[in-house]
Amino acid sequence: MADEIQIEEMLEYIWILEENDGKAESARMGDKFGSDITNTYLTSMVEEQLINLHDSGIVFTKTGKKRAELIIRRHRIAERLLNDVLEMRGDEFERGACQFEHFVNEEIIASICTLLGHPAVCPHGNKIPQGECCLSAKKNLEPVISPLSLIKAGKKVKVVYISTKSHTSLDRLTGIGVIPGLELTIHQKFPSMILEYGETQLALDNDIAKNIFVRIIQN
Amino acid sequence: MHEVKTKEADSKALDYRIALVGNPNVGKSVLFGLFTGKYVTVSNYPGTTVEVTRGMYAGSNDTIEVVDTPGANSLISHSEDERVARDILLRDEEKKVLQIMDAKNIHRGLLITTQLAEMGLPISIGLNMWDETLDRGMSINTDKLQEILGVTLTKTIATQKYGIGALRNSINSVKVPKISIDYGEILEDGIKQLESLLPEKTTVEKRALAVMLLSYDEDLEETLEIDEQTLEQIHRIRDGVQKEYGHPLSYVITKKRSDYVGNLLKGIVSYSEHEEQAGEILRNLFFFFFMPLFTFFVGYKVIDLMMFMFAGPLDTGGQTAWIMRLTGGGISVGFYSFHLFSREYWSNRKVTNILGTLTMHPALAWPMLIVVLWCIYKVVGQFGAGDCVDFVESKIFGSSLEKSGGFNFKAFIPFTKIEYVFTHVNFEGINYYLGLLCQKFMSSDNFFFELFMGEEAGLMQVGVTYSIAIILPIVGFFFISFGLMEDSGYLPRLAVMLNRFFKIIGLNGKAVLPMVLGLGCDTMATMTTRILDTKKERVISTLLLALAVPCSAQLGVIAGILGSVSGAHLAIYFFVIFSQMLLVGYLSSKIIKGTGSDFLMEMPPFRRPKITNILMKTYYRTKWFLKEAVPLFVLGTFILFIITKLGILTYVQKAAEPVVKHFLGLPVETTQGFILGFLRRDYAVVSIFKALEKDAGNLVIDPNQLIVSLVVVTLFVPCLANFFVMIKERGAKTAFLMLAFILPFSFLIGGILRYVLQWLPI
Repeated sequence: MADEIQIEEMLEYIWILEENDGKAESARMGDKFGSDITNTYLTSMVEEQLINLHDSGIVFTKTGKKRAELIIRRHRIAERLLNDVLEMRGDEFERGACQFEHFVNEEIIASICTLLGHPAVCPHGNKIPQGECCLSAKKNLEPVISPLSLIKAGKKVKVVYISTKSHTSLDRLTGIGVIPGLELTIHQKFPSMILEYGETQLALDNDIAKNIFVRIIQN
Repeated sequence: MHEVKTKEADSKALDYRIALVGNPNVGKSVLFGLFTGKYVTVSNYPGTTVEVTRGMYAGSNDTIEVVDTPGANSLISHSEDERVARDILLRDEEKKVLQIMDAKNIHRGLLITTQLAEMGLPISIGLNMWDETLDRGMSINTDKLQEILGVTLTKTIATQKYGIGALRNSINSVKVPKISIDYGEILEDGIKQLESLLPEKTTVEKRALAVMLLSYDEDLEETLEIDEQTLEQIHRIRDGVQKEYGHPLSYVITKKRSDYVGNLLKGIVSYSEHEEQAGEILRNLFFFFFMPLFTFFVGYKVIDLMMFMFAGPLDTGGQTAWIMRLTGGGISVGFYSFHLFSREYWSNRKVTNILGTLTMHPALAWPMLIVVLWCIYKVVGQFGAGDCVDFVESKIFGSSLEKSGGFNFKAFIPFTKIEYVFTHVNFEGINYYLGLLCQKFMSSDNFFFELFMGEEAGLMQVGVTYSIAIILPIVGFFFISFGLMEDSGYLPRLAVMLNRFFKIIGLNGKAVLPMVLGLGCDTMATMTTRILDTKKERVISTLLLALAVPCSAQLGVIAGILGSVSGAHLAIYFFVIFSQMLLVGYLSSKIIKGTGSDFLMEMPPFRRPKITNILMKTYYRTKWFLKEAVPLFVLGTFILFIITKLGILTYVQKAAEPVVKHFLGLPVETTQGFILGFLRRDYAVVSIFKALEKDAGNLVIDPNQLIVSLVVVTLFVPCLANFFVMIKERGAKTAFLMLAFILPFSFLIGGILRYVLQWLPI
């Protein structure tokens, strides 16, 4: 585990060096992580076919580059979240983002990315690598996550999260099976909204539908 | 004393109890009926059972009691009926739990199983509606699931009595399900802390109680009778745990459970390609014969009704009218066919499913609703309240002093005017024979003869005759129609359609159930308001039921009387009542404190109703109704008799003159009707009509007078039985406040209407 995290940290740094200087040198890596650690991990990373070493320069392999991209994306999305939404600053903010990137899975990152409106750059002004969610958002020209009440009848959607004002309606919704991850079809919207999932048809108010945020998975 | 002793003996002899629990609308009540041989109301919508029903297990020699509970999707309570279900499980009794599930919604059912397991209750599971599950191409590996849960699973189809024997046997082998959910470190820590605070002896596992307390179950705090200090500690722990989560704890907990159930069901539930079930012939008949015919009728009737309401019944016979009707029918067939053939014909859905969708379609459902209401009016208002009442009142009961003249026993041949008379029945009416009998002992102007057989206010001649002759046919036919709507699943679809309207008056679509039931009997409906979620909604719906929902007995009489005068007046009547409902509902939703709730209702599938169940239901409801109504009728007649005899009536009439005569513009004799209104509104309608008829003599009744009096009586106080139930359900203070509002309000509206009508050119 510790190894994984260390490798991720190093991949991330290599990416940053490449981004800033155009190339990554193992000497610079040594400055940051200490030469012993750098040497050991670089060798194991070569073994895992994440990087290749050319003289003193470090070059990503295809898999390595992909992996690094994901980590950078996670880190910078996390930065945006902590900075924009939670308004964290300074040390706490940096530490938070660093811990975040190792524990959060892709699905959550995609949700956060969508929530934030697919940001292009991190608070420091560096580019955030695009994920699938950003690409599909561009293609469809619409925010991928929106309240259920705004979606047209006939679409198939997946519940992403439920924002909660009333305890009772929330408990009722969960009791009847509407929880994040549920895939459902909007059967009709007038006179009342009717959802279909599994063998259930559920009628509900627009007021509740406003608080259920979903992602369209099929038109 | 003796009674108490027998009760003790009873409870000692009881071996154990079987509690039927499960989600709403899964068939608990059907099984209860099968186990006990006792009938409880069974319908096709969630929330039919609002109270706990108990009965003895048939064949157990009174040693096993069966308890039917209201359905609940979670054992954390939100409304009164859900709390009732949960509290049964917390009771300190020897009990075995029989959990009933809708097999096609097994995920939701197992969510409850996890909670039962947490409580440490021994259970057995019935997977009901197995036929519908198969119809949908769903298969459940019950053997594997049984192994995982360690609990017996029985496939049943309760309405067809399939699998009932096996289910009965499974009661003997109840076990606590092998389910244990890890809620994660923080929650588990909180649970442990709470467990240590709970009393030494609890009826169910402490863990379950702790989880419920974490879920903000405040009713439970009440049930457990925890002292203030401990309660504070509990709240502190709960709030501490809550801080660690972004969502309410109840949500976090349910999510965990749901994930657990989801994992459990992996590899157990599978779907096969859905296969066509209905026969090809039946399906084609539906698409090419029944639907075109029916939809033509819908369009035809809608135009017909519009012409009746707006143009009056007189100009509906002309050629243009015929063309309009036929065009309406044609347009209707066009629209429905377009929808059916473009959307449904090629899909493999069952006919009942298609109907289920059609009855809540954004556009197509409305004309159907109008026609459904019209059909109910035809059956209840015209056939029930008109023909049947006439027949029973004048022929079966008759009059004490005059012969009824008998009647023909005959058959009609539909669509022709031919009728075939089998025989003439020489029956002069029960009252006539009773009158003859009485006249053997006394003359017809004797005090006692008048008390029982008098034309004015005789207990038998008026009280019993009115209640049975007028009420029984109307209510009976209404309950049959209502039963059809319930069992087919049309009623919840009505809720979907009317939700937006109900929102205006501070309620939500769920309130459609008590409101429509109110058209049958307001008293019964007031009890049904329990299914509503918040106190505010219950108060508003009780008020509106008392104020503006005429019961079928009354509505039938009113529609019959007004319809025969003019369609336009009937339309005005409905408009006034409806607008008052809207106005009062809207205002009270602003004035009454508290919050409403959001509409969230599961739609049961459309099903073919079972006639036997509808008849059973009608029988029990009518019986209940008569038990309530007949004594009140007789009492009302008795009071009327006394005040007539003592001459009080004249004084009351004089006292009421300023209001009745000068403000409402009605003859003073109608006062009698308003007094009767305190007892029963339908009774009042008849009485007022008779008074107006008398007043008019040979002339036609002034429709304006009629409509004013009918509006007042409709808005007027609820009947006595309803008022008692209001006191019982809402408390005396609220009930009397409502009465104090309704009384002057109804007269006020009546007065305003009188002056408005004078300006209207009708």
